[in-house]
Amino acid sequence: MTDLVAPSPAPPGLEARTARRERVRVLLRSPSFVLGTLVILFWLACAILGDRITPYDPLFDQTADLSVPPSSEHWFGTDRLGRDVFSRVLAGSRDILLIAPIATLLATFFGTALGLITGYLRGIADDTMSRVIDAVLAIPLIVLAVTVVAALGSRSTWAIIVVIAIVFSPIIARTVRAAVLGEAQLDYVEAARLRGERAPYVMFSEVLPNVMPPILVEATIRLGYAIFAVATLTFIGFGLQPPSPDWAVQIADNYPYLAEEWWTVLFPALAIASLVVAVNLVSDAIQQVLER
Amino acid sequence: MTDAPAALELRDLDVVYTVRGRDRPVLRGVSLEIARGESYGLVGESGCGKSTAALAIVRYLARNGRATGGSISVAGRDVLALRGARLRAYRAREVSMVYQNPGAALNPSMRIGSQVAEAFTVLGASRSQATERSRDALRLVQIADPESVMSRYPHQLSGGMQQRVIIAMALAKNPELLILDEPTTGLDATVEAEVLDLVAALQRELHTSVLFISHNLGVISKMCSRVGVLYAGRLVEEGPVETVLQDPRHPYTVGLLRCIPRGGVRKDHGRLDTIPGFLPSLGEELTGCVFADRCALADARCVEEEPPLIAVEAGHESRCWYHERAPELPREMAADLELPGVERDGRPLVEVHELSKVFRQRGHDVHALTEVSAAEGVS
Repeated sequence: MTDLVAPSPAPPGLEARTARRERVRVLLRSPSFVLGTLVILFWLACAILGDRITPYDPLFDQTADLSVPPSSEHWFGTDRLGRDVFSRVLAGSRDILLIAPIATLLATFFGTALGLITGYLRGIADDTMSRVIDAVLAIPLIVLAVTVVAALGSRSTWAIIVVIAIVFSPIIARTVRAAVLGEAQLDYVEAARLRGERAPYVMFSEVLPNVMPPILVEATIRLGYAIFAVATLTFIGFGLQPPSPDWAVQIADNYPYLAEEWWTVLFPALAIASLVVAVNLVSDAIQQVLER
Repeated sequence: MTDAPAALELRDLDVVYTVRGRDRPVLRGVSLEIARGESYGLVGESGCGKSTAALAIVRYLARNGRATGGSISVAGRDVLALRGARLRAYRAREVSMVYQNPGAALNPSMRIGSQVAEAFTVLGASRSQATERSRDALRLVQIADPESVMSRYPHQLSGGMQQRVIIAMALAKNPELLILDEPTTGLDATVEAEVLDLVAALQRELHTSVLFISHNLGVISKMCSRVGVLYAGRLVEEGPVETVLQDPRHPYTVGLLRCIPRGGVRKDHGRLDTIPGFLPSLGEELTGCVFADRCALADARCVEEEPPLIAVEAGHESRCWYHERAPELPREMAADLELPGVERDGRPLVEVHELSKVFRQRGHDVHALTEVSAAEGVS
């Protein structure tokens, strides 16, 4: 019995914990992760604190100055109703930071389930569902959005969430399916089935934990796209309506006057861009760490 | 023994794989029987159908494979007729399988404790019972410190330990039939001996019926009481292990035995033999004897007419027309291999001078290499 436990007499579980801590350490050393996280945390703080930190009320006219360009008094200027653009940009992160993650979570949930089922069961179930997925992938976001509005009879925030979930789940399902295909060939899956385990148990308890890294990466990438999609759909009139300070609502409100009042459009647009870029920086860093 | 059904009975089993629309036979009319408590070895070279036989028995053939004829029964149960829940119950309670590569047969993201416990919960044990029984199961496979092993992940165990865990899981249900598919091929030679001793001891203790699949006749002779030799999907010889190894009566078995180095045989009066030629390709149509192509004894009769299993003596059968002459099979030597000459005066290709390599692990230095020097000439 020379061959007891390899490779070193560490207390059990410690190695796994050390590996996790090492990953976190690498993440914290990555400049893109730190920068991205700081930007996201900044917008989260704005979303939570809202009008408690804005210099002016983001919803109502507080000043007599209409359409003034950026100045020391109004950093981002004011719009045609005299509302302070800086205050509105700070307050405008709240809804998008709620809607986009909910939509992404929903898409990840359904996408993962679909990917597991198609990748694990193969055969007819896979062929049928994969063709349906291909079909959904071929429909552009906007066209699907209009269709869902017609079907639901509403343009509410929920419609946005449903549309994004429908568009993103097939994409996630494909990634998960590919990962599951590789995993399901391994002996431990065969061993579980030969032990008499049922298919759902094998899928969710045996295979799922081993495909979590690609799912996590895919979800963070999708979150970036979801923010963009929420902004797009809001811009064309779904979900939030004026006078909400939402960024996309502000852009939609003010873009006809872009030539004269560029600041009313530029600053909310920069806000959207900063959030999308920050999420992508974080997802890149996570991907690098998980794939090392 | 007479009234209890055999642990495993294969009757004229045919298995085909459908490749590009054509059925290619992989097992051709294989019949064998494993009595309760017996351990039976199945040998043959890679690609002869050994693993296919194992997968057919657990009903886990690849999507394009199926049994087209014959029957499989385990403890009297017709395995080929099982469907759905009955099939699952059969797999859960009657058969177990141990794989070649223990590292891949354990779920990398699950602790050993929960994996072994699964083998019990699937049989209906409660969580606490399962943990308790896992501890006993690990002790049974001579793991000294089950608690510590149960809290580890598979990659933290050595190959031998992983294989013990798998054997513990396989024995959890006290199976009617335990299939070991090349269980030590992926292990170091020293660990291999330990695992084999363990399996042999457990088999004696639990009276488990074992189907032991291997290409290694030495391992089979150590582990099994009877052996079947498989060639191109045909069982060509079968008998008690000592008889078959001492007095092989099929040219293929004779050739196979001559490929093994043995003590007392010196290289100057007899090189190791080889068996000329290759296995017939998958699903080739064969009219005569499956081995005729590669057999030095073969004549027209062998090519035209396939020999049945001919009883050499009680319990020893060979599928060869000329089984009396098989031991005198002409020898077939490997051609002498000429090693390419080494150029010593040129510049070395690789040169290592006093190389040391130290790994730091938790504050301790681990010396992997200490001042190794070598130079390798260009060859």
